Amino acid sequence: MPEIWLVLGMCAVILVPFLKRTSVALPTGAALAALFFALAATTYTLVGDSGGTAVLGTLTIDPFSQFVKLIVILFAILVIAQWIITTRGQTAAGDTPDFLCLLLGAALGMSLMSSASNLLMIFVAMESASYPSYALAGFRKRHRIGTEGSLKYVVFGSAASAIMVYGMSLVYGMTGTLNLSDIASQIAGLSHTSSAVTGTTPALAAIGLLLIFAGVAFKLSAVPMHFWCPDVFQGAPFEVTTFLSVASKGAAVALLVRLLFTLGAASPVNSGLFTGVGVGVAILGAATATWGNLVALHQTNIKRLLAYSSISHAGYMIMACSLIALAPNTATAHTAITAVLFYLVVYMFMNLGAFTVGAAIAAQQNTEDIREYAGMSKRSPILAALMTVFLLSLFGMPGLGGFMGKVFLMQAMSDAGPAGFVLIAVLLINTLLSLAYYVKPAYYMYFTADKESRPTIFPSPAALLMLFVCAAALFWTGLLANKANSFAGAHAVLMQPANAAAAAPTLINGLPTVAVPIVDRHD
Amino acid sequence: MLLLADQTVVEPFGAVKPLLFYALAAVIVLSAWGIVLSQNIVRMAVYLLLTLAGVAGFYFMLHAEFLAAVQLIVYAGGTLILIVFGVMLTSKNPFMQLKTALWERFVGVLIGLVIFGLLLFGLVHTALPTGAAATGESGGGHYQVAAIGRALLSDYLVPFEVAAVLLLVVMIGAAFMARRSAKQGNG
Amino acid sequence: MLTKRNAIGILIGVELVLNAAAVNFVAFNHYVWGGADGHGIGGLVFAMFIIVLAAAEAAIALAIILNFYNNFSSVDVERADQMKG
Repeated sequence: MPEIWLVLGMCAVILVPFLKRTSVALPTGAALAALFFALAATTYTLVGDSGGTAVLGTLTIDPFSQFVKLIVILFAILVIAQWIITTRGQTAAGDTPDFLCLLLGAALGMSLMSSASNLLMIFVAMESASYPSYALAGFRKRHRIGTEGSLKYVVFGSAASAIMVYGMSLVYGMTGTLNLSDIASQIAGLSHTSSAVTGTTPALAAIGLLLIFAGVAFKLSAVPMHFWCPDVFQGAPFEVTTFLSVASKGAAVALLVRLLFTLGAASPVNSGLFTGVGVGVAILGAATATWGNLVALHQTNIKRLLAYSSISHAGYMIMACSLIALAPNTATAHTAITAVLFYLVVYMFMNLGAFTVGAAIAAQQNTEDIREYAGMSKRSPILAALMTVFLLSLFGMPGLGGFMGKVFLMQAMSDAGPAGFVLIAVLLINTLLSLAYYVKPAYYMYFTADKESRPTIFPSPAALLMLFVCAAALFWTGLLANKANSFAGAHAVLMQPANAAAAAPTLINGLPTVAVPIVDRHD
Repeated sequence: MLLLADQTVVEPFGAVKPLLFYALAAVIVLSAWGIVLSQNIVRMAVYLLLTLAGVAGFYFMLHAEFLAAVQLIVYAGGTLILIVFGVMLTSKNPFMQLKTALWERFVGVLIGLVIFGLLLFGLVHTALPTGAAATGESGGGHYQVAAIGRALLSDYLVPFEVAAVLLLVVMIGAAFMARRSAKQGNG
Repeated sequence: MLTKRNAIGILIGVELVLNAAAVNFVAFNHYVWGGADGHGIGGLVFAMFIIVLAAAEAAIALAIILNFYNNFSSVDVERADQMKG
């Protein structure tokens, strides 16, 4: 349970200021230590227990959830590193423990989102990922834009979560259970655990599901509910933007995958409701990707540009997730989950790199406007080159990780029949569209002369190291993609709901223990 | 609320209970309308209090006494007071009115009607499940408190603990947002 | 939620929706699913979590609104228009 380490880390971070009041190193060290322990715990369950799944009350521990947790926790470490390297000077020393505590709290919620398999747990996990994010988005308290972003975030976010909870209440009313796999089998009408389901038509249940998906779509910043994303990203400090762009969306994608997978596993082939869900998700993804790319075309702020880029990348992943619903219980679904996991890993490094370059430039030149990147190739050629690498990877340049990510997505789509080909066409058109704005910063850096003789930017050695690691990861995933993909494939295993249904009421004498209800299944 | 109205038909009880139900429902619906229609934030807070109290009354009628108490103490006594404090702290003139433009109201009403229609459609087209406990007084009174406690510490232990941690995080976040910054290092 | 310009008004609207959901949970739990094979308490527990998390949500939202007020001297969400595009 890596989450326990996160909680311990939070406690340590809060208590440390009592030892030494304005220390930055102590809370940072405590947070990093906790994160490393959590990382080790996750890796241990990944390696030592591969293929094993367990149910722990309302949580499902399976390779998929552990993989997502690995991404979230690793990314939290990288974000703290980025913060130390680039933007720590902008945070008051007295605010450091608050920042780290909120970051750990958000990471806790996100890692729980990846393994929540109960409506109540989904609700609690999503809220505990959201509330710290609201505060983090407005972390620069005297910053008008930051305040505005966090206000929009909290207003939209609480409305979306209220709607989601209403949907959950409808689903509960129709199925009588909060457990996701029981809900799935009830809705599919396959099992009759209670005598009540006879004669139930799923109209209200379908509306409830729709509302739940709307709540998840908000976290994913899918298109009708994406308004918060660019404003929050622009207003938040760089490290928070970086964190939200990957960890928050990754956790939401994981939740979407689990919802679709669990619902699909219990659904009979070609069930009308479920195909409808799949088509709906596919349209949602296509609309999200297209809209994100179209609006990104005329952005000049690097954070806004990357925010719209992250919306469109979320759209690509949603499109792949729809395959799970369109072809449930097949190899296609597995390929799609694998592709999404691989894409998440690649996306993590691309975004981290791009945002870190942006933060390094903003820290020294105090600008987020890409037009002021003019002449960067002369002023600091290394940063310009690295930024170009990250942007090209985001676009999908062959040889880089982003390309292979898209190839795997398309490969999964090509298995899904005619609907898949429509998705591939959408993905290709969007990729071409995205080239137009990804080259824009590179254009300013390489082909625009610097007329105002802006200062040279010297990135610190640590920043360079971090950027090189990101770039190396992209080259590695781009050139030797098969190994990474098979690693992701090995962890694209979600617990089959049939198991979960059998193992769900695992309470031995009603003992309030954490350790007892674990049921390992090595099949 | 709609849903409840539908359910009372099933309830085989005396004449007082439906009467009480409709009285409470009227309080809730009218004060909810008041919240929506009022442009004055203080009035909205008072209407919210009425709504919350009415919902607590519903909980009593549904034999969820513990939940009703929690609703009154935490929601009406805590959250609402928090909101009223928010109103006091953020308005120079508490009776200030912020009028919304006509088209915004139109869009709001439209979306509300769409959701309402969707729910109505779903309600009409769904045979509500009649579960096992339609007649059973499913553990009213103190048994229910015990059952909730047991559920919180067994089935729902993880969400319970996470909610506790969440409250801690929210406290830190809120304290951070609301306090004056010690040093103007940011921005 | 949608007809308000006051941020606190929006928050009150959210509380209304949350209450509607909680009433749904309790009513379904009582009339339909109460006592059924061990899941009988789920709706009540969920309603309780709604109350708890609504309190937490109100706290964090009001802190942010307060901060917004400190910067903009208003709680009018229409003033939140610094960013466009």
